[in-house]
Amino acid sequence: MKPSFEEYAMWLENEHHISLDQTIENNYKSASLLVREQLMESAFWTIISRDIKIMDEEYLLKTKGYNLFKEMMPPKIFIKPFDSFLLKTYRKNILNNDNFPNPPPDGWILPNNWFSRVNDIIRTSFVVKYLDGVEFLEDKIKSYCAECDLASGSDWEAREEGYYAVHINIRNNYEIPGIKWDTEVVDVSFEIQITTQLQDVIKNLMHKYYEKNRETIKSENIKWQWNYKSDEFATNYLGHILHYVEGMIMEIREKK
Amino acid sequence: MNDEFKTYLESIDLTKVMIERIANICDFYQDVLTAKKDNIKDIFISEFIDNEGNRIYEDLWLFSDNYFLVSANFIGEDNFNIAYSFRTLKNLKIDKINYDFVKANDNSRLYIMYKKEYGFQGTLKASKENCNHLMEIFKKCLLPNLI
Repeated sequence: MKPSFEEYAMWLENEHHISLDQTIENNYKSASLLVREQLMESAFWTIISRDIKIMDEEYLLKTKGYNLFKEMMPPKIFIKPFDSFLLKTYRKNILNNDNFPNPPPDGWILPNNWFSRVNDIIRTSFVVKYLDGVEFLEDKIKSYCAECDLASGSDWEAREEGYYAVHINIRNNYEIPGIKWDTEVVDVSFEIQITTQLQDVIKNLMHKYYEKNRETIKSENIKWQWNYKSDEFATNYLGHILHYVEGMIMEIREKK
Repeated sequence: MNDEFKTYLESIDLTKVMIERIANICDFYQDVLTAKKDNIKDIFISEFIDNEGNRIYEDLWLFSDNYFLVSANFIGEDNFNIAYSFRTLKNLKIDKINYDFVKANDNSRLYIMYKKEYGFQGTLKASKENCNHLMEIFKKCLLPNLI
């Protein structure tokens, strides 16, 4: 039987001799702060920040008068809070691990590798005004990755829960303190999310709901698509409806 | 395009992408003017700040000794309007907000409405530091052509 999230700490202790104490959390916080600092000083982020207006003008010309961005400032780079990070390791190790009690296909996610294995410890989000801006910006960011010799990969997310965004993961080596406070060079992913204005609104509204939803093991007998009284029904379909509306906005814009 | 024009365009937050487009339009107009033995002397971008604080660029104005040369909605459209300028302005009206005609700040706005013969009229709009430039254009290019 799979342990609950409340039992996860005990499971780590019993199965992997890992004590989820303050040392682990402090190490996570220090390491993630250092990664963010190095990223913000990197050539890649410097170029992207500098070229926000250039990208907007290229899109403005391409679309004959529509801005790419709502705001002409580089977005903030966020660090995943430790609790959310731990929840993600729980989901990968336990909740969504079909092999449990054996390791997931790529192995357990533990302190000695979790900085490399969790993709969105350091992340940012670009919000574009129109649906076609997503692909436009994805192409631009990938070209900057190539210019800076960085490996990148994209996922075009279209989730059942009504979440639509592109996630670009950009990998680079960063110097971080190890668990024993020695310095390690670790391959860490920086996640850039690209989403539209309407999806951004709903993402912020639903974020807390998504996080809560992800803690629990779902019963296979309940299909939210039929349970119109559930929170999932309203929130998930709202995400889909908004995506559809954005498609309609594009149709109208292109006919003008 | 000369450096003075580039400096002006950069001062109103345009990057090399838009400057290149404007340069192409300038090249066309200069070709036309050369046939008339005239030259582009001044430039102005009519723009305003929208509700979200973004600068919206509308029209490109170029001025020679004898002509007004306009590309309306120069980002989205390819249109070219050339009009004789000498003493063709019937009326000029100025509206301003947070601007003393000398020093502009981020909240400054300047609108100069013009009327020509046969009902042609329009508005040149400026925000922030562009207000100073529009005042220069007013003095050099618009006022001398007031009937």
